[in-house]
Amino acid sequence: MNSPLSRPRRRVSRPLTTAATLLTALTTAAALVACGPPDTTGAEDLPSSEGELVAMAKEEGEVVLGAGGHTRAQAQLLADKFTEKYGIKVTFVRENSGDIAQKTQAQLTAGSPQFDVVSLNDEATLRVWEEEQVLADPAIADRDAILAPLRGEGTPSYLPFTWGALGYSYNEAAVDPATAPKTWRELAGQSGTFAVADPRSSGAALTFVAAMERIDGDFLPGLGDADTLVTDSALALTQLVATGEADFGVPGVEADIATAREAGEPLTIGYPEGNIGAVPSYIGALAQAQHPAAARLLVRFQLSEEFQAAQVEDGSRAVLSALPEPEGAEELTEDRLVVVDAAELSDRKDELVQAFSSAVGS
Amino acid sequence: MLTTSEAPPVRGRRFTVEKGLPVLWCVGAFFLVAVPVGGLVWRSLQIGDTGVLGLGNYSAALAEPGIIEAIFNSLWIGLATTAGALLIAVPFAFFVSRTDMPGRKFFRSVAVLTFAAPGFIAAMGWILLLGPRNGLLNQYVLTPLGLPAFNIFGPQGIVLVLSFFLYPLIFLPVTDALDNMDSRLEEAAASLGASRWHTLRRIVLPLILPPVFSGSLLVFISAFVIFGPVALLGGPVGFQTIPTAMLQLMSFPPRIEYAAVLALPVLVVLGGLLVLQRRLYGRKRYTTVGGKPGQQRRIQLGRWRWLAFLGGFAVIMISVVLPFGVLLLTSFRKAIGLPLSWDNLVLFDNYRALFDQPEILLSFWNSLWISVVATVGSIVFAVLAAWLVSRARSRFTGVIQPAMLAPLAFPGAILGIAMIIAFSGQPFWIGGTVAIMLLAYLIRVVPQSFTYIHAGFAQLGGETEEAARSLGASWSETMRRVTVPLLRGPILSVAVLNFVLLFRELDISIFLYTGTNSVAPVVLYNLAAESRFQLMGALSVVVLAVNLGIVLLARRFLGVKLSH
Repeated sequence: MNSPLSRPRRRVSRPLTTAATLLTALTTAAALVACGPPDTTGAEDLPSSEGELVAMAKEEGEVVLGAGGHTRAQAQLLADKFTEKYGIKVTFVRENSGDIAQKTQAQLTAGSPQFDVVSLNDEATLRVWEEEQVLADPAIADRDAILAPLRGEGTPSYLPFTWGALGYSYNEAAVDPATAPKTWRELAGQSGTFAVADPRSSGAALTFVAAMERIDGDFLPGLGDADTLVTDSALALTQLVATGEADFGVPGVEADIATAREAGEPLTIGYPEGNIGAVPSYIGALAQAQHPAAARLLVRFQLSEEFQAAQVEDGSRAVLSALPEPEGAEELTEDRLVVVDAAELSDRKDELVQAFSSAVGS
Repeated sequence: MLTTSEAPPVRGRRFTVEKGLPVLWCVGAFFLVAVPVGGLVWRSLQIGDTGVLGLGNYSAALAEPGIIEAIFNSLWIGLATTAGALLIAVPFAFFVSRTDMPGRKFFRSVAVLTFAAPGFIAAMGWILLLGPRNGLLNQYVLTPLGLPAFNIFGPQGIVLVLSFFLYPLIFLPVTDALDNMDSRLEEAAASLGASRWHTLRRIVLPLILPPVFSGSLLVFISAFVIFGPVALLGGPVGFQTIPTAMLQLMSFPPRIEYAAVLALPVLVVLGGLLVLQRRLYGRKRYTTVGGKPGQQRRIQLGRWRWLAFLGGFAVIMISVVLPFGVLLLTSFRKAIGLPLSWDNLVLFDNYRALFDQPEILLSFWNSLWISVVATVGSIVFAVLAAWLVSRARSRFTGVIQPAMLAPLAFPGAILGIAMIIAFSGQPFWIGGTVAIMLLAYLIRVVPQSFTYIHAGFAQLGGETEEAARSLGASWSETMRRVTVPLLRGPILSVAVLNFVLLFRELDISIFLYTGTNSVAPVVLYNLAAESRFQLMGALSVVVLAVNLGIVLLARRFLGVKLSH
């Protein structure tokens, strides 16, 4: 017999149970009362004058950035400079662009965004958010100051704030930079192993496939004959090249390689001659931001000449045409850059993925 | 014998503990299972933003090219991993529990440490060991011996890594069951002329069937839904399973309405396994604990004991020492991209750099207390559910087990999304807080807590509890003084296991982290993502040390049977 419930027993009142039930109910009620909805004024109520905006932002006291398009160094620089100038605390979460986009989407679905500002290197997602009015207009006046290939058509609520070239990466402790391939064709003809980013995994990888179609249509099919490892994250791409499991990483994203070099890894980027793909990183403020004034101010500050110059000094490329290349960076003139339009990427995603799979065999 | 109908009439309609328990369970299940899982399923039924409900998202996702192949890949990776884990765990548990194999206390203590790092870190460690071109084992062991290099990339690598990563999920409960088994049963069989093999087959194996099945179920589902190792080891050669294929599908641009679709094949498989479990041993009794400790007589292995030791040593070597050893080595390197030489080694620079960052210490503290609280909470909830299933035989019984196991069907990332959808907005508003992290951690370990404790109940005869009740003990007294002490083994085992798993929980944490609620695994992930592999190695070693400390403390002060 297994059931103690079927046994006769003394029926005694259990004050403990009643107390526990009451305590649970009280705790739950207290917790629900304590967890109130965030107090927000909404982006549409923001003042038009800069002085009032700054005052309001200071009153809000902080701003939260979901940094998918920034490297950690870039996000830290922005946080430091912004706090230095306005005294407003910046909290940032640095993860890859896809993770930040998903996290933001889930927060939006819940109706409770934790981020005030989001940066991504995936324009397709930002376009969708723009259509769904998820983003707030930062009211930036001088968009013409942005490099022509990067600013695109129209006046979307998101803006490019830096960009990186899409070359290839290699370990200079294993491959002599002097003998590194100088053209895409030469690269495809190398006998080593290639780690190639899956275009389904990120905006940068999809942009690369689209850009290479224009730059050298034979490049990806050429890799089909080589030994390739297909990766779905920048983390794996960098690791495979660093550990020597792959000789070349394709694409080599400038920001990722800069981060690896900062960490002490002997990785470097190769810039083949002629045209080269470029992937901009974009920033935008959320319409439902809990700190809307500080969010708008942060976006504006990111695009300001003052901060863009600081960004260049720190080794990142600026989007303002008046500013020079960072010291030591490859000089890439506007006419060499191939920037693929987000609409094209969205429309042709399946076709590009299919072309990549046929060529590389993933 | 008195039955309910013969029991003395109850005076009045007083509220008793037992009557309140199903309600208490329902409230817990509502918050911990129904709200997050239901929210996700509801979202998956919404077609776009039209408000129209339908199965369009399911048909669209499942029609994607490669999804069906990914489902089959998941199935066979799950089966192969379970077979591999069983082959390692069952004999290992038998030798540790029932023989005089040397080092068995040590083996038992450290087995749980396979979980001491997130899956993707373990996979990165294995790439450093068995990468086909530069893996240390390939380079310095296999090649000099004239053996072909092992290629860690591909399904063979995934099954190898997952089998050694997940085998403790079977090993721990089976060892507990063997410990609790009275060896007089075997002696009786032997005295009646049964051979050792016959006794093993007819007495021992049937009695450990519940923990073997429950552990296998956990291994199978974990292998079915695991993301990190499959992405790192299978992705490079185009091998996709359900989570890698679906997460890719829903991530760019974000399509969270597909999140619940991802769990559909897992839920179907899980449901099938539960039916199978019920058919296999639902009506049988597996009582081996009757209130007094089982008498143990260890099998003397004689000269074979050192061979058994070598086998155990190999398991620990492959599952713990090698992957963490390579991370330890990495923690002393300047860069993994530079050749391994004295010039490329540093002493404590990476550890110093680690502890110079105050946020790392804060994240450690957060991980520590959240893991402890979630562990305790999940065990209380699991004991309640297992008692209702095993003892109360309430009308909820058929619902309790699937509900307690439902979170298993959701990979960590999906559960993270579910938590945000369910608890970030109204009426809870706990997004971005430590509270949401705590709740998610608790949900994460509910299935295994229930599985272990339910298996423990299956081995526990109800007679001792019934005797206590008939002598006038209240329900809470009986639980406190009889049931819980008799379940001490599975409870403490799963407590340590939960803590170790939660202390390195990454997949959910990365989604719930919003800058102010950092935990240690998020820091670990960020270090890897920023190519700070040396610091990542150092932090992995520190996480291992913390887990090892917890295991040893549990052994010293609680007498946890992991170190019996």
